[in-house]
Amino acid sequence: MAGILDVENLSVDYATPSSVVHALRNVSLTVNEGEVLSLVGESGSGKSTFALAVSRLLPPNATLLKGGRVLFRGEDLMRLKKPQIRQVRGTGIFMIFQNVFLSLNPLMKIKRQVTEAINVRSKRAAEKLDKRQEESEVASILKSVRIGDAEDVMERYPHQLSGGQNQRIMLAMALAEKPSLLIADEPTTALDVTTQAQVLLLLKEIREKSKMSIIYVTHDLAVAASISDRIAVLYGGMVQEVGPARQILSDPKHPYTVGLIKSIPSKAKNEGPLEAIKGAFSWDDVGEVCAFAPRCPLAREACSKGIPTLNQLDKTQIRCINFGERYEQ
Amino acid sequence: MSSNSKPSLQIENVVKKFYVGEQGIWERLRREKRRHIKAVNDVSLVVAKGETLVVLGESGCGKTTLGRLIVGLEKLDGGRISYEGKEVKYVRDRGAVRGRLQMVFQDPSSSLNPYLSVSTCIAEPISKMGLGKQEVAAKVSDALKLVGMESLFMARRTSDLSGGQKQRAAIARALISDPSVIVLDEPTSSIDVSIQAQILNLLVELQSLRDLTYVLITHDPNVAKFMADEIAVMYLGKIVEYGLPGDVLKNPKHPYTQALLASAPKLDGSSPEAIGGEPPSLINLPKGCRFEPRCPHAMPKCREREPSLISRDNELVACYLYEDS
Repeated sequence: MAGILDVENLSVDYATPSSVVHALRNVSLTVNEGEVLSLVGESGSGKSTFALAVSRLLPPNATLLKGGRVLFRGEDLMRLKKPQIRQVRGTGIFMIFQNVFLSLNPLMKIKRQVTEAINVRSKRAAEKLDKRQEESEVASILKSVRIGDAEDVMERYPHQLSGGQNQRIMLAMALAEKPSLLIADEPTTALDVTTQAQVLLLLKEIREKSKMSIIYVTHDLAVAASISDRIAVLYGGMVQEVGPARQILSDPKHPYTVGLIKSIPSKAKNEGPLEAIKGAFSWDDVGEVCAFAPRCPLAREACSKGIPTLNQLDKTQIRCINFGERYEQ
Repeated sequence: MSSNSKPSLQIENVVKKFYVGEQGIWERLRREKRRHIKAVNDVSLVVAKGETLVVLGESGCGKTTLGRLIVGLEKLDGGRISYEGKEVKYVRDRGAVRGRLQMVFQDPSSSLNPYLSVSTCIAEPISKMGLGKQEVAAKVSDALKLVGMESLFMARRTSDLSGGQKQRAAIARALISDPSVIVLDEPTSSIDVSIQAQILNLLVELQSLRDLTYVLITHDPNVAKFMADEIAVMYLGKIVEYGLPGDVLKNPKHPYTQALLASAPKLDGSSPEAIGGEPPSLINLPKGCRFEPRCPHAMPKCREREPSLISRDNELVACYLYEDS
């Protein structure tokens, strides 16, 4: 089934002064219409690189390897020229980042920034809006993201608002543009727990109302649990397990996912130590073998024979030889 | 509050003020009082030897300032902090005790000097003790062993370490002067989830090995649950609830604690519950209870006078809902 976004064999390398890092290797993922797909992983897993590659916002030292395709509504984004990609970014894909203070212009009032987003949409839809209409739309959009005194907030600058308010303004801009795909890269990581809950609920509401598809990038499985339909667990630049959120959380199969869930503290210290995953992620482990093997409690010799393929099991796919000893060519 | 053993750390009515805004020449000439906020406002806590007190709260609640006060990194504006009967003084004051109180900071990448070698970094707390080179090296290697790192790391620069290794090195630095109290300020919030459990296990192991007293500052109820012998919940500079983890986390009394726990996302996929509003700023506190503007149970009384901590079922809670009825 073709989704709104079909990513096929996406590979990204970063050039560093001393070496080349394979940040993403042959990642294929599909986002269906109106679906929330969470990308979960720790630093170095490639989750942010995936988000950036899809929005064509990779830094200059990154190279997209040949053979990868990112089909957005059937159109390969990797082949588009700059002006065309701008068009897609403005109207089709909207990305919000972890650090909102860097994504909002500090010298522009909130009103102008949201108006910019509204203009992108009205241009696309060939609507004609006068100043007053624009202003009232800004106010109503700000209200819809639960900014209480919208008229007052409109006249302020980002630094006068809190992190939670700014993140909501980013969401307001997303709402104004009505994109079909929202990519959110750790949007609540820098926020407090109570503010995070507000933003998560808002995202859920937006998604239900506007049928937007969302790619939600996070390191926190619990956050992913509360928002996603499907979850993809990444490690070492590869998808290790992908499937329906419920199933992955209640019955994880890949040893890494199992370890991640077990290492979330759920007991008190006098009930014994936590079941931690041993070791740490290292780029040295990433090669033509299973990247997780050095930390895996189930690792055996066969794990270093090659990169395991994604094995289909029910509705999930697992990259582990315990579910079928096959290797990538 | 602790019944067993003698208190190791005693915090009594501690106040810390910060001045806000510029004071221009006109204000100075008119001798206007400078505006200030109370980041920590009349906080009293007791931690027993070898136990962990968790301070749970969100950013801006004053939990880090409280931690810095405990180790003497900030000057007190009121109250008293003592450990094992001795008063804790501001580090720059004469007679300040050094080494017995240590702190592990939130972000090891910024608390360890990236240009120094691991061994220089770890040896910093004992560098002025007049020890010989070999003695220092032996102590560093012991400290590294304690946190599960091999001595071959000694010569590396701290910038070459991974996040988890850096936090281990920071813990080793805190251990080297043989402290009795360690303040841990969000020790796992900047490292990956898969490493968090390792660090928490290490902290618990070290605690029982060295009979350490911990003050652990966190916003994460899961971390609090695992580490705590007692929990104090802080909101805008004040303790709103204080008790055993079994009570505070399982059966929270204060509406803020309830809201905080309900808004933490859970693995079962249940939707987090959000309370409205943002915390008011410390410059402009409400006259009554500081949680009243966001509280679902607010009563007229709450708007008038601030509730003080009262004892209720083995806990302390600052809320009129639990006043004698």
